[in-house]
Amino acid sequence: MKLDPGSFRDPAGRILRSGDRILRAIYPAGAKAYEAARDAGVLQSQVEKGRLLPFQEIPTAGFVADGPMPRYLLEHPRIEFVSYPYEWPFSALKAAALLQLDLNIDLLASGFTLCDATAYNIQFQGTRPVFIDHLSVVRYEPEQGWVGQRQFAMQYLGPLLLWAKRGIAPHAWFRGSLEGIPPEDLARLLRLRDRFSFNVLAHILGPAAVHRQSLKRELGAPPPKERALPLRNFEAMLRSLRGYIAGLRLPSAKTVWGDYAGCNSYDEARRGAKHAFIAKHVGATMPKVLFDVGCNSGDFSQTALHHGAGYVVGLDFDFGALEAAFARFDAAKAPVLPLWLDATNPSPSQGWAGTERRSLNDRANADMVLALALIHHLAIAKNVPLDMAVDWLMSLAPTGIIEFPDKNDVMVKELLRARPDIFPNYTEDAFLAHVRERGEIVDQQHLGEQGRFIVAYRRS
Amino acid sequence: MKRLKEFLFVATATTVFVDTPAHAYLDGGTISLFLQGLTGAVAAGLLFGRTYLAKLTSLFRRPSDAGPNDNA
Repeated sequence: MKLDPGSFRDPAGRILRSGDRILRAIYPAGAKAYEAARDAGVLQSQVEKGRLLPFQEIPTAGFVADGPMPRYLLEHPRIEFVSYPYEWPFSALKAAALLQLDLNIDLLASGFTLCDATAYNIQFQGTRPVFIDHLSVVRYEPEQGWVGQRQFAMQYLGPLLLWAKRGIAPHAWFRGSLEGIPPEDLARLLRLRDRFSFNVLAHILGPAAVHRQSLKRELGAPPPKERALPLRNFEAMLRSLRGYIAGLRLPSAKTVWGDYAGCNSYDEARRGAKHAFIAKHVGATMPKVLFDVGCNSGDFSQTALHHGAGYVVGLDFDFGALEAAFARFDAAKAPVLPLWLDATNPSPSQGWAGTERRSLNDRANADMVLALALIHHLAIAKNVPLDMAVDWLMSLAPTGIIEFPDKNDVMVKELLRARPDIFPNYTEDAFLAHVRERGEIVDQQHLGEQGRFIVAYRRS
Repeated sequence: MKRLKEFLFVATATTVFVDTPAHAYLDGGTISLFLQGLTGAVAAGLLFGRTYLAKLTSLFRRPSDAGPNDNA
C-alpha cells in the first residue's frame, strides 16, 4: 500500500492506495477523535444521509504499508474520478459549499463539528458531492469558534462571489493558488454594491480588515480581544451563510458554446448517424469510465451512458455548456461529472513537492475517450500539430472515438476565415495515418458530405 | 432597507473600507474570535427576527411550499 501524496497535512491519519483499494490509516493522534465520532453514531448517520463517504473498519493485524502503524484502518469505496475545485463548474462548487455547511450544521446538533473547511475534502459521484475526510469530524469546543472560516472564505465563498458578482470564473486564480482566494485580495475587487451583504461583511470584508490589523501588530504585543461564539450563534452564522450561498447565481452571460448543441452546423440526420456510431462502439467496449472531451451540454455523454458507459467524465472549456450539462445530469441523477478543461493546458501535477494535486493525465483512468468536434480547435485554433493532438487524445484511453472535421466543414472554414491557412498537413489522410501510427482503426464513417469524418480506434 | 440595516450594524464594528497595502510574514490564517463572536450574534439576531417575522406573516397568508432561505 502506498501513501497518497495528497493527504499529509493532518497528523491524525493518511490515505493509502493499492490498486482499487482505498484505505484510511488512523494514527494515535486521531484515534480519540475518531472513536468519539464513531461511538456517537454521527459518522454512520452522515453516511446514511449520503453526505459522508461510506467506511468500514478493517483489522490492522498484519497490515504492512508505508508510514507508521495505524491504530485503526478504514476501507472506503473508490471514487471513480478524483477532481479538484479548480476544475468544478459553478454549480458543483456551490453544491460542495452547501454540503460543507449542511454537514457542519448537522454535526453541531450532535455536539460535533468540522475542524477545517477545505474544498479538497469533497469529491463528486456524478453531480452529487460527498465529504471524504472522516477525520475532520471532531467534538465541538465552544471556545474555538469556527476554525474553518478563513478556509471556507478562500475556497468556497470567495471564488463563488468572484463568479457571481463580477462574472469572473476563478479557475486560473484557484489553480495557481491552491488554498484559494484570500479575503484581503478579493475585498479589493468587490464593488460597493457587492459589499452590501451581511455575509460578505462577516466572512470577507471583516476578516480582511482583521487580517490587515494583525499584520500591523508587533510580535509580542498582547493578543486581540476575544469574544465567545455560543453554539446558537455559530449555527445561525452557518445557516445565514448557507442561505446566502444558495441564493448566488451566475450572471446571465451568453457563452460561445453554451447553445452549440442547439444551433450548430449539423442537421438531424448527421447527428443521428453520429449518435448511432457512438452507441455501437460504446456498446461494444462497455467502458467502466469514459471521458467525453469537449462534452458541450452532454448529448453524446448521454448516448454513451445509455449504451453501456458506467461513469462519464465530461470535459469542456466553456462554463455555460458545463452548467447546462451539470443541470441536465443532476436532474437525471446520472453518473456524469462535468468538469472544466482547457485541453491545451490541462490541470498539472502541483502543490507540495509537485505531487499533492495530480495532473489530469495522471488521473486519466478512462477505458474509452470521445473527442467529438474538438480536434480542429486544437490543430487550427491553437496551432497544435495534428500528430500531437492525436497523440494526446489517444493517450487518455486505450479505445476511443475521434471526429475529424476537414477543411470543407463550416466550423473549420470559420476558424480559418480570419487567418492564413498555415496547415497544409491538416487532412483526413494525415489524420488517419497519425491514428494508425498509434493503434488500429476499428471503424470509420463519413457523416454527410460536408467534411465530417469519425473513427473508432484501439490503441496498440 | 433590511440589507442596509445589516450593513450599517456590522460596518460600524469593522473597518471594512480601509484597503491599505499590507506586507508581512505573519500567518494570515488566524481567525478573529472577536469578529466571529460579533457576527455570530448578529446572525442569531437576524435569524431570530426572521423566524418570528415569518411566523407573524404566516398568520395572514396562505402557507408557501418554498424551502427555508435566509438570504442576507
